Amino acid sequence: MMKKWLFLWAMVLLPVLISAQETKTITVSFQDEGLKEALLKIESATGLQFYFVDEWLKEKRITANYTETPLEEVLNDLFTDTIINYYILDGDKVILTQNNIIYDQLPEEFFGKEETTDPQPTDQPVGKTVTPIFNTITNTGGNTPMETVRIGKETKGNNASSFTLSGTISDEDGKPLPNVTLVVRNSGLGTTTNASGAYRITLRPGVNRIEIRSLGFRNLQKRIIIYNNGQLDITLEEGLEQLDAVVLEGSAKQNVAEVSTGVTEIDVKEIKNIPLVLGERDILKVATTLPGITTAGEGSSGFNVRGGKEDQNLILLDDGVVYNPTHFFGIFSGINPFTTEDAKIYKGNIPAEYGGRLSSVVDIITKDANTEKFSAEGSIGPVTGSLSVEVPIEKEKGAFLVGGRSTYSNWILRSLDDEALQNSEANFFDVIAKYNHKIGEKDDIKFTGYYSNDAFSITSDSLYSYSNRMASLRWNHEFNENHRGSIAISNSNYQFGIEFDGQSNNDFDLGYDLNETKLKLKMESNVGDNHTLSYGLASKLYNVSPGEIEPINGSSVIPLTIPDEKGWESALFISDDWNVTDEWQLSAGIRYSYFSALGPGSQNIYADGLPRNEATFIESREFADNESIETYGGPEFRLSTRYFLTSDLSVKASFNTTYQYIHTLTNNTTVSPTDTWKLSDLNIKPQEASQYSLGFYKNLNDNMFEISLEGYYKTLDNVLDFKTGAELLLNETIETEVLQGEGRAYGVEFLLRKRKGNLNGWLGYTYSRSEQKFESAFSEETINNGNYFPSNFDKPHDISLVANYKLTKRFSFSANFVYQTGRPVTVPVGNFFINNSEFVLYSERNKFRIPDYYRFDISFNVEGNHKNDKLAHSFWNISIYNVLGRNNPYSVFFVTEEGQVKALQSSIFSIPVPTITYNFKF
Amino acid sequence: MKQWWRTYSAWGTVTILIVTASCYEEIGFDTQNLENALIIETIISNENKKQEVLLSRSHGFSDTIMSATPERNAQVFVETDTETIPFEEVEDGVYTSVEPFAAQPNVNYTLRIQTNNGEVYSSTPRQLTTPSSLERLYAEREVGNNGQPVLSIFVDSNAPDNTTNYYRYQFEETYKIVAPKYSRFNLIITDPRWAFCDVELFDKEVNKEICYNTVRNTEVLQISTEGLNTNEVSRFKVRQIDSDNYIIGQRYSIEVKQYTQSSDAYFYFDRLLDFQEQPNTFSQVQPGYLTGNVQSSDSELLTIGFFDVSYVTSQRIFFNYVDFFPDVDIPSQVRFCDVYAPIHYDKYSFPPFEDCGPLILEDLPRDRYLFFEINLDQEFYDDPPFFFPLDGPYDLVPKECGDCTLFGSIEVPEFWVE
Repeated sequence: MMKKWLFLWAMVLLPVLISAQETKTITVSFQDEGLKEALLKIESATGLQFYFVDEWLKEKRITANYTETPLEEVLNDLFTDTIINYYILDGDKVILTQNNIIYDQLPEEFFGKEETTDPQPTDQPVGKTVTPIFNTITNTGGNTPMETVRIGKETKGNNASSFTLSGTISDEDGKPLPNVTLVVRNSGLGTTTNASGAYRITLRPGVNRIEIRSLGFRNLQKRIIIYNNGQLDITLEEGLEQLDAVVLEGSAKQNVAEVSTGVTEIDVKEIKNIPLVLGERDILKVATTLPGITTAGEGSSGFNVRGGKEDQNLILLDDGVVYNPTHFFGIFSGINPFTTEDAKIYKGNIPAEYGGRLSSVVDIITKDANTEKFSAEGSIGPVTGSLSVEVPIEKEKGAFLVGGRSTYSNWILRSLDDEALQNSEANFFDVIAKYNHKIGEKDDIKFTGYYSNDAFSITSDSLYSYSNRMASLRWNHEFNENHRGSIAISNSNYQFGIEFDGQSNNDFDLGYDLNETKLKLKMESNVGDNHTLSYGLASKLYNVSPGEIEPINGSSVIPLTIPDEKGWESALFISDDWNVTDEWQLSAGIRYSYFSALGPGSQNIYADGLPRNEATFIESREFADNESIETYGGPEFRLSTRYFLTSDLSVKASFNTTYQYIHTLTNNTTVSPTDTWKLSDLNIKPQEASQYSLGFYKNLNDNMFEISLEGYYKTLDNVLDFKTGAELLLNETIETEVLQGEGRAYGVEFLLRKRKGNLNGWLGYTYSRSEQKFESAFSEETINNGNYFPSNFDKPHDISLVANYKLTKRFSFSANFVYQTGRPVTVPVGNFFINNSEFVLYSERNKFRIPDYYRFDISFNVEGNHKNDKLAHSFWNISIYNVLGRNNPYSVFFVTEEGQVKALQSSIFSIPVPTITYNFKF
Repeated sequence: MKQWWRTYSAWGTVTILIVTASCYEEIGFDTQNLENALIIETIISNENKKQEVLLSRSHGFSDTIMSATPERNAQVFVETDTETIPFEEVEDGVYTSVEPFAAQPNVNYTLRIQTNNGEVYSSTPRQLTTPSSLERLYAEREVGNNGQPVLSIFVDSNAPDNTTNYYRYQFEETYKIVAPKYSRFNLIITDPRWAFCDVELFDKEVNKEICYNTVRNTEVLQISTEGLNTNEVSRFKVRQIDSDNYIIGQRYSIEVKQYTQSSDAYFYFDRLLDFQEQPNTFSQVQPGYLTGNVQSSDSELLTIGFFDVSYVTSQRIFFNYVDFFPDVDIPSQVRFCDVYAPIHYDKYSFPPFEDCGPLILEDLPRDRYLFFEINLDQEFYDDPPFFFPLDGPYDLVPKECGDCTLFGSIEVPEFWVE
């Protein structure tokens, strides 16, 4: 076989194509025979000699009869629907070629020697008069080893202007690599691999030079001669630079080339160096160091994207929604960084396939487990321990990943002798499991289950708990090269409860429960050469139990249950990614979403055009099970475009509209996480938003630096806020307490990022405003005289600096600095008397701001050595959180002491907090 | 093994303490100038009288102010489509119409205020609310939460039309106070010099045995008929008085005024009242400035209050303590009225003492005690030549036992009926 190989290769390198000189005819018949048998039969019948590799000839089976048929005709028939080309040498030797696999299997040294040779397109069928594709390669002449790969069979008369190349990029273990960038050097176009490592790129016919980059892997360049649509799977070698960079985007050119505005991708592998609170790696916390994403500081559940409320972020974990992905009221995130492959945040242009939230989509993908070998990763920190394990179930096909994290704090509290601490509780854990299985070449299924739970006492008599539960199943299917589809089913549940046990007659147990079940069908088709269509539908059913209160220990609390809510949300979506020209790419999508609030339930009807209150209440209307209470819906537009001004400077613009049918009812006057989600109904309309954004993106110095400047203007409609004086929790007529008004948010985001070198990191600055307006003819429905006022999360200035300095391959320093304007609050400003009794005078809504937030953290990282035969890789992180000891307010509240109202701020980490975390991996 | 966990728990404890026992610190907000809201209290009614508008200012927390800060020298008018009704300041911050008037139905009334510093405020136009009647005002003996008897005062009301009504109640209670140990005499020091030590009894110029006190309610009391089967208010409790409260100990009268409020005004005060409750986890209230219907064109100027033109009806009842509590001891405004006879050394004492004793030196000059009666049981040390008193010649009582003006006024109210 090796002999044939070498010979074949020699043939390939022949500078001149040899055409067949004579026409040979053969007589042969095949009865359901394999290609190889067929060829052997021809060999014995004609004396021809075929040169091939057995593996190429696996799939096809032939049944045919030929009498005095020209050899070429027979061979053409045999090789139809294969990617095998042939040519006839010296009249009696037939050489078969299958370019795309040959080179992958050749030894590396072999290519090293060939690097400067310009291979010829030798695989043109003999005797064809089609313009042959000759190489016009302008070799850089550098000593990068570059492999040449031929794709597809050149077919007669195919004069398409471009071809599609697709495939999978994986590491040496066969694990697919997401977010790997492919850039076509000669055109500047590029793409990245998706979560399952698959990519798809449009190439011009002929020679293309592509560059494949991924952090932690050696860069790879390939010369691709493409004759037709084809497939190329690529294996990347791991680079020895694990500590290379704190980089959030896995792709060098994505900054400039990506068509959407406002997309942020977090490379989960790379966040480990960033110093974080108590040594906990945290994807969502890292996200907040990027422009446009902010939190109110430690302990604020959720985050705000471009002036949007916390509830306006759709957080997807493997297709399923997670409602509250935080632990300990937001001090830690509930997303396990060790099992997460990728997190992508859409804050500008949201793809049409996503919907249901106004401000952003956070798409978190869990790792596909390693199907080749067992591996494990873990960490031991002062607060939590974490372990994740990947177990192959069926080699190359199925594997199972399970990861869990837990605090030991509860156990420790309990085991202490101090009686006061015996009843304390501070406990959280999360566990995630994923099974991925490949069925044949075209199908794979993934199943994910997730559960997180928090329980703790703030005061000795109350126990808070909340939990998220999520399960999703996804099946990907490839119909053919141009059509792919996936179907995903998920179920999510979010619960919280408060148990109040003060040994008094008002002990109670309060519970809230939300459940959603979702089905999503998505198809992707390449249409022509320049269009990629995505289309599908999504549908979900909500079941909400807004709350119940039950007396416990025989208390006198009156049990109360707010009736359940049900809703059905559906959407049809279609979008097209269109390469209009090499420079200009357009992504146009439309999503039609529809929501129906369903019975059973009763809805209060109020007089039109008047404030909703007891006075305008007309009647309570009953709805039967599954009867539609009210429907809402409308088209959502998702338009985005990118134009290359030069090859490393682009301008992008987008316009985006969104609807949101489920809302949180929250205020920022209390500490406790009693946010409840409420579905739109007869009285509460869906929220709407439109966002315009425009940005410029520039890469400098061979992609070493990225600069982006993006501006946006967003208008919101029907945003919810509470009437002043509203009672928030367990209100049976909550519609009388909320207002729906207008909002607007605008800002400019600047990001400078250095990707390479010993010193890397980024600097972001955002100026943004977020305002709301509640105007009405009725004072009850007016806030701040109907003027625009800052929303609870209006933080105009936001600076973050993340820097990583690599001392050696094993030692590095990291630091980050965050500054934010303090958020607005409503404060009591004085007292007054009415009827001789004293009242507190509050300022206008959000008239004041809490002190500015700033924090500086440092960390020192030590990576264990990278010897391959070592049992476990280890990684030490020594960090100091809040080095400056800044007393950043976590919440501000007011107490009355001796008749005087005082504003107090509570801080969680008001002193520098040192931590050591040990991570291991084997 | 155990040892290992011990070490570890120290770590964990530190962490938890940081997390849970987070630190609290007072923060200051610069609320200067913002606390200066104009507070407007008024209900113009259909009662023909000098209508009243009260203006005051809010004040900062640092001030220990126990009552409203009046807004003085403002110009106040109530305008209708045809006339302007002037008000004048009769007391600090109290403005009454120069002439009495009664609000008429279907007339638009607008309140206009110009303060001394030139700020101009005006209300939205309001019309007289729908008539209603306070059908019945009555008191009943009940058992309170602590098991002790209480007296509750209820209102029943009725409205002719069928719409929901919003009532605000104001009451004024007047009660009689009787000084329990009253004497018609005053004990007065006539010669405090040593060795003279003279005191004498004189008739009091003013009788301070029986007084009356009138108190307005200080809560905002309101109710809506929403959710009630009928449009009537039945047994709305405006007042509950413990049976041991001295204000009902003698004779008591209460006048309740029932104002038909607009729903706007009702909900305004409803939300304002929510702020008075101490917030806790389970009754969270969205705080903020509540916009009333009196505003300045300058939106920076805050006002509190609601201008409403209300239909009013009223009733008054009287009752005596024994009508309801024949079996209970009459409560007094003074808990202890024990008599006290301070030693008084007069010229007859031997050996002569170096001073006149506490009666002249302390008790009478300090005005803490009043004469009640002559101590007929005075005791002496009588062992000649020694002779001196062991207690005093006059029984004194604490001032509050012998002077009702500490609790009220001696003037009999005009409406008082015995």
